[in-house]
Order: sequence, then structure tokens, then C-alpha cells
Amino acid sequence: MASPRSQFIELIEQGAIPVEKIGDALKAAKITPDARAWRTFIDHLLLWLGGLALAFALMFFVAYNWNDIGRFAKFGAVEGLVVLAIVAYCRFAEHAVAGKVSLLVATICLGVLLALFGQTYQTGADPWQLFFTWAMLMLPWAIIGRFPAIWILWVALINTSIVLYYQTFRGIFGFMYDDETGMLWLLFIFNTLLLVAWEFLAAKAWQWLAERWAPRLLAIGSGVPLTWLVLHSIFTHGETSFLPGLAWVTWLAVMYFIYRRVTPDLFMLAGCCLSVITVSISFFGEHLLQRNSSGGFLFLSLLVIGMGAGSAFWLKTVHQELQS
Amino acid sequence: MSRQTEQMWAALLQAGLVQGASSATGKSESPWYVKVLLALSGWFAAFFLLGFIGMAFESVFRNSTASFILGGAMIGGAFAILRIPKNEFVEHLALAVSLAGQFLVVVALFKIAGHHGHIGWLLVVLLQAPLAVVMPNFVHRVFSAFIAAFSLNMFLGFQGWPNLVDGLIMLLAAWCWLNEFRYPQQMQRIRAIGYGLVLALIVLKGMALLGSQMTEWFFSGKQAELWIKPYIGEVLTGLVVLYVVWQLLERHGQGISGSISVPALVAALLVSTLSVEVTGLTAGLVIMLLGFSGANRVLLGLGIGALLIYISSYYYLLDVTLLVKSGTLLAAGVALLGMRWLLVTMLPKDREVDHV
Repeated sequence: MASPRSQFIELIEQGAIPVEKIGDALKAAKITPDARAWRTFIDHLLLWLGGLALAFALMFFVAYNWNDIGRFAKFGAVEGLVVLAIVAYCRFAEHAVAGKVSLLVATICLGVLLALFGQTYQTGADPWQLFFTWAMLMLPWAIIGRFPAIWILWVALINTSIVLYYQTFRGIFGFMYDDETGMLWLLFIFNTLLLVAWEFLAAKAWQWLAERWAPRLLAIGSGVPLTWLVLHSIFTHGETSFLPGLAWVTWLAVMYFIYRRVTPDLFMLAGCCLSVITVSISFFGEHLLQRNSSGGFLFLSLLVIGMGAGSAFWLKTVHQELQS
Repeated sequence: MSRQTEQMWAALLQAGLVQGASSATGKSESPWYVKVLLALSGWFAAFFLLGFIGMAFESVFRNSTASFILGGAMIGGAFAILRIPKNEFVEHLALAVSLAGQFLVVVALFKIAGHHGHIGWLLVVLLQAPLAVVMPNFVHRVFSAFIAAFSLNMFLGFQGWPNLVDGLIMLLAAWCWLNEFRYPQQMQRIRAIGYGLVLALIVLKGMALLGSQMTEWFFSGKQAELWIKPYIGEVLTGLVVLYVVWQLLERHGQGISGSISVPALVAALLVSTLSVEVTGLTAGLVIMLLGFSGANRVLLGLGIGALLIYISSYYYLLDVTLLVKSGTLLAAGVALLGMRWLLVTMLPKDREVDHV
């Protein structure tokens, strides 16, 4: 969706607005903010900055005195924060933003509480257990909260615990693949399932899922591990499994079908282009550069240019199609 | 034509600023992530091109004259290609060739400068500044403006004047963004240079923050003694903030004696003072102000991101203890919320505000 600003720029570039009237036109088209908009902006800015300054002041003070604060005081403080945040959430039931912020703060304080617990009582727990427990405990709040940011936090926590788990153990698939690929497969499957669920629910059921940044992040979480798996199979000489390549091609086909035909989203398509370029360059690079040929470099250079230009052309075409 | 464009055209018609039917097609530039994709492809292509040149013509890298001539030819060739009406492939090819050519020229320049490394940086500025203005490609201009600003800082740093140029860069960037629509023929150019300068400013402030001790060590061992204290940079940027606020006030018909001018300027002054402690605060704020005044969400986002990074990095500053920092932030928080309270009482939301 073109922003008012870019539309205005286009009008100027076509010469539709006389040069001497551009200043007035900016105001008429509401590109330049009027006094009311400025007032609101400065109001919010001062509020956020002042609030952040106070919050950071408190944190720095606590950090400075950390070693001198007693054990119970620390626990009491953090638990108090959690309770306060929940109370704030209940209080701000009508004000959407304040309520969301309060719930998010409560969730973060929950994590701080768990970390404090682990640090104080030296339970010997592994790092991944911290994140996993945190994710499980915050799940009810995410379900009640019903806004994308808190669910993305949950997804991030699960992803982190998966990564940390594989750093500690060999996983269930340890006998089939080595550590890294098992972790990548798990990440890919988890994030893809969530992406599918999210898009499906956003389309059929809940309006609050409609913000695009969240599924885009999930798509990144889905695409990056898969691309990495394919790169891994390219660069590892012992691997003869075609599974990553097959999964990758299937993923591309499905992404194309959904995000070109069903619910168009340029960001997803751009991400797919990036994945294709990366894999192609790696594939040809691996096979051509072994012999130290200068021609190989030239070919790769032209390949990147060609694929980059091709992607740009295609994406621009899709973009224009979406706008008309 | 999309509904939004229609509405905008209607508003302009009503204000008597345009006539007739709009010829706008409602299409616009591609989104930022597409531009990033293109920039990345250009870089990688340039990298592989250099690899090719390096392998095929090894002598070129060793001989600075040959490097200079070939690089110059490549840049010139790219310029020629970019001038003709473009398709995507040609545009990318030219970008890659130009980047590779620039690399060759820069290597040659530093070889020519020899032991006087700082002269090399000056030469880079002299190369990149004209390219930023002349090259007919948006991404290229952003890149050249960025490198020019960065190199200027390095050059002055080696002369013993680090952090000085931040104010200059901010001033230039502010001018670009405040006058973005004033010269319609040069709009693309001004905007690209504006983005490049803003990115350079963010990076330089970040460097100043992370390496305040490093800067002294890095530059003091070289040519001249350190003439400039680190906070001089912040004082200069503070002056630029005052300039920007003044310009914005003028635009809304508030001269120096307008009713909100004095509080606004005082507030700006307070923030600049705070920024001496919390490096980069003014930079982030100025970027946000410029972004908001032009309804430029990318700029606004950059400002917010930069501001958050600087405030978080304040934690790691080793000059003062956490207790002092805590006190500073407390005072700052109280002052900011106090200013907000003043704003709310002086200008209640419901009052008619057409002049202020």
C-alpha cells in the first residue's frame, strides 16, 4: 500500500503541482503535520522518553546496589513488579495499548524472576530449561492477551530453548543427523507449523492476528533454518541426502502459491528470492571456485547481477499489480 | 488510481492548488526491503567481480596507477550506463561495476598516500562526494554519501579533531530533509544524500559511544595532539538541534517571539545538555523530528532505533558509575515529564489550535 508521502512525491515528479505551491500543497495533503499532530507527537515523545528515563534510572540503581540487596528483598521486588503489572493490565482494560504494555512487562518480569530463582538457588538447571519454563508459564497470559507481540515473544522463547537444548545435548534425531541439522529441522518445522496456523486463523477467525509483521517474522524463522540446511548439504561433502533440497523446493512452491495467488505479500516473496539467490550462489560457488578459476568469479558475478535484477523486476511487477 | 490518491487530489483541488484531473497512476516506489535486496546483490556482484579481476589480472592490484586507471574507467563506464533509460539488469550491472571500480581507486589512493594515511581518507572524501551528487542511481548515492561522511570523520580524526564533523553531517542532513520538496528537480538526489548522511551520523555516534576511550587512543598516537574534547561534538550537534527546531517553528508561522518558541528552544537546549552525558541522544531526536515533519516513516523508524540503541549503550559507558548514571537519568526523567506537564497545561488538547 503506497503511503501518502510516496503518492505525493509521485504527483510532484509528474509536475502536477506547481512548484511555488508545493509548500501549501504539503499542508493541504497532510504530509506536513499540523499543529495538533505536532502537539500529540511531542506529548507522546516526552512521555515515552521520560518514562524510559525513569525506568532505566531505577534499573541502574538496582544494578549498582545489586550485591548489597538481600535475597528476600530481590525476590520481593521482582514478584511485586509482576503483581503490579498484572494489576495495571486489569486497570487498563479499556486502553488497548497500556494494557498490552502492562502484560508484556509482566511477562518479562516473569522471566527475570525465573532467572533470579535459578541464580540464587543454583538448581543446576540448563539454560534451555529457563526459557522453556518461561514460555510454558507465560502461555496462559498469551492466550488471554490476544495480541501479536506477546505471541511472538512466546515463539522467540521456544526457538531460543530449542537452540540451547541442542547446545546441551544431542537431540532425539541425534542418531540420524548431527546436532546442527536436527536443531535446524526442528526450528523449521515448528516455525512453519506456527506460520500456517497463524495465517489460517488470521484469515478465518481472529482479527487481531491481522498485523503483517508477525507472520513475516515467523516466515523468517521458517526460511532461514531451511536455507541453512540446504547450504549445509551443499557444503558438506559426506551428505548425500536430498531431503533438504526437496523440502526447500516444496517450501518455495507453497510460498509462491500462497503469497502470490492467495494472500499476496511482497515481503515473503522478497524473502524467497533472497533464499534462491543465496542457495544458487553457494551451489555454483562451491562447484566452480574449487579450481581457482577466474572465470568462476566472473560467472558468479554475472549470476548475482542477473538474479538480483530478475528478482527486482519480478517484485516490482508484482508490487504494481497489487496496487492497481 | 487508488482511493488514497483520489482523496489527496480532492484535498489539493479544494485548496485551489491544482487543476483538472490527476494524471497520477497511484503507483509508487518499491518498499525498502526490495531496495535492500538490490543493494545486497550489487555488493556481492562487486565482490565477485573484484575476485575475477584479481585472479585474471593480478598485476592490476600490485600497480597503483593501473588500479587507478582501471577503477576510474569502470566508474566512468557505470556512469555512462546509468544515464541511458534503464532496465533492471543494466542498473545492477552498472552498480556492481561502479562499486568494484571504486574499490580499485580507493586501494590506489591509499597506496599513493603511502605513509600519510590520513591523506588517503581525504582523497576518498574527494572521490565520493562528487559521486554522491553526480551518479544517477539512488542506492549508489546513499552509499557514496555514507562513505564520504565516514571518511571525512576519519580524516579529521587523524588530524586530531575527532567527533567534530558529527555536527556538520547533522547540519547537512537536516538541510536535506528540511528542504526536500523545495527543489523538485533535485528531489531524488537530495533524498538519497539525506539518507546516506543520516546513516553515517547514526554509525559515527555509535562509534563515538562504544569507543570513547578507544577514539582517544586511536587518534592520539597519530599525527596531531587531541585538540578537541569529546563533548565538543555534542555541543555542535546541540547547536544543530536548535537550528532544526527554529526552522520547524518558522514553518508553522512561529517566529522567535512566538508563544511556544521559547519553551521549545529551552526544551531543545535541555535535551542537548543531557546528550553530553548520554551520547547520541540529540542525533536520535533530530532524526525523529525530521522524519515526523516529512511524514517519513523510514526516517522516523531509524531515529527511534538509534535512540534506543544509544540509551541502552549508556549502560556500558565506563566514565561514570552506575549510581551517577542513575541520578542523571532520574533528573532527566523528571525534567522530561515536567516538560510534558507544562505542555499539557499550556496547550490543552481540546483548545482550538489553528495557529499554535
